[in-house]
Amino acid sequence: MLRLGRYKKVFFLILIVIALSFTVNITGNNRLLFNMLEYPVISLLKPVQEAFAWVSHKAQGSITSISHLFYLKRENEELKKQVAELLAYKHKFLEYSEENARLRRMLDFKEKNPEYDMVAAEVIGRDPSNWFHMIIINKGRKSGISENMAVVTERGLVGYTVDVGEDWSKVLMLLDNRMSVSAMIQRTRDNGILKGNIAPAPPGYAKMVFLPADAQIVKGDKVISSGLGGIVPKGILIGEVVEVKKESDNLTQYAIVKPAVDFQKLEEVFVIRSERALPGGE
Amino acid sequence: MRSLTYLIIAILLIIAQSTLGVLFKIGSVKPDFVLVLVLCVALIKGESIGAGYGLIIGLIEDIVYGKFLGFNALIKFLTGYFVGYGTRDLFKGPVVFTMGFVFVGTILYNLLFLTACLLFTPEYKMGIFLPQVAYSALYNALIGPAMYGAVLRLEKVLNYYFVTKY
Repeated sequence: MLRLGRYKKVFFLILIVIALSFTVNITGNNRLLFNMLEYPVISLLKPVQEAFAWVSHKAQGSITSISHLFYLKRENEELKKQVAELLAYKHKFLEYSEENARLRRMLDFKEKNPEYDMVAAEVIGRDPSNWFHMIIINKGRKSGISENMAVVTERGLVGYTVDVGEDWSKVLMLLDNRMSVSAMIQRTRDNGILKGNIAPAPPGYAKMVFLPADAQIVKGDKVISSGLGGIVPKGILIGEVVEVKKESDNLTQYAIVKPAVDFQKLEEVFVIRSERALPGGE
Repeated sequence: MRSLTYLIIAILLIIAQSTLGVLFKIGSVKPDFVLVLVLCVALIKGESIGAGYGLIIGLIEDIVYGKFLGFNALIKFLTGYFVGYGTRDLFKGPVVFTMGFVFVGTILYNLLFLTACLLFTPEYKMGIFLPQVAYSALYNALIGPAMYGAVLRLEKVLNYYFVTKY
């Protein structure tokens, strides 16, 4: 009985397949017969189809298709990538441009100061603490640098070397409290000692002490190195006076000096190895 | 009433497929919602109803979009039958299984389509067949679980209104 049922099913299956195959052949050769079926059904379904088509066209008009959305997404991602690359290029370009300008200024400085035997170095590290003002540069003994050599930029004095390795040096900067440099007021030629950032100098400023009580120093006067002490050559710009006050003993006065160099933005420096006699000079 | 509901759904889905299907096109492949419906009905209701539903849907497709009667009907009829018959003793619970059945069902449908093309329309030249089939099977497999869930839910609703009596 069960087998008969299965055969029945297979029989029907084959029958339907054969019938459909016949229909395909007949309607393929006889369009008229197919049209008789086709017209009423299509006419019946046409309104529904039109409604769906309207929805489809509306949707396509706004988003075209889901694949287009994917395409837009991909395009957007690619464009974002390109923008990121271009931004990176732009940053690099600006960086090189800045570096170029800096190096030009330094080259200019070097050419204008042929009396100094200088070696250029790059700042590779800074003291992380808030208390010391020390930098590390990438040149050392191999480049002929030793302790107590002045370090400058085209803007002015940075400090001097205090510790030198084979290919690195530590530079004590002007604002360090341990700093002591002989300096003078350029206009009045009054000598003093530039200490670091000690009271009452505000952060970022240095104090110049031991200035004569009768010195006529005014705000804006340039401070240069005096050459006394033998570390820093004479005439290097240190900064400018922003405030002058008498010491409590009234015997001397002090000046608050704003350094010419921006210590936060130091990238390249020169180490003055020695002074050489210029031909035709004294 | 159940048959009428399925017929209306089939007609609406065929029209939706022909008009809105393009919105879901990715590359050169769009999902075949109608085929997935036939496959899901075959999975849930077995080979006889699957084949019958495939036959009716195929006939409507032939009449509305076809060049001759019986071509789509034959392919969908056989697909519904084979899928229903081949999976009648298989466990169909997890979503992955449904996806797998729809994937295999779509490949079977395309093989039957290729065979029917060779038999009935030798002038029809098949294009790049395999990648197209694979992508379409994958796409159908992705929408398979949703369609399967929808058919199950429809069955529950129909059972509630037309079968279950307290």
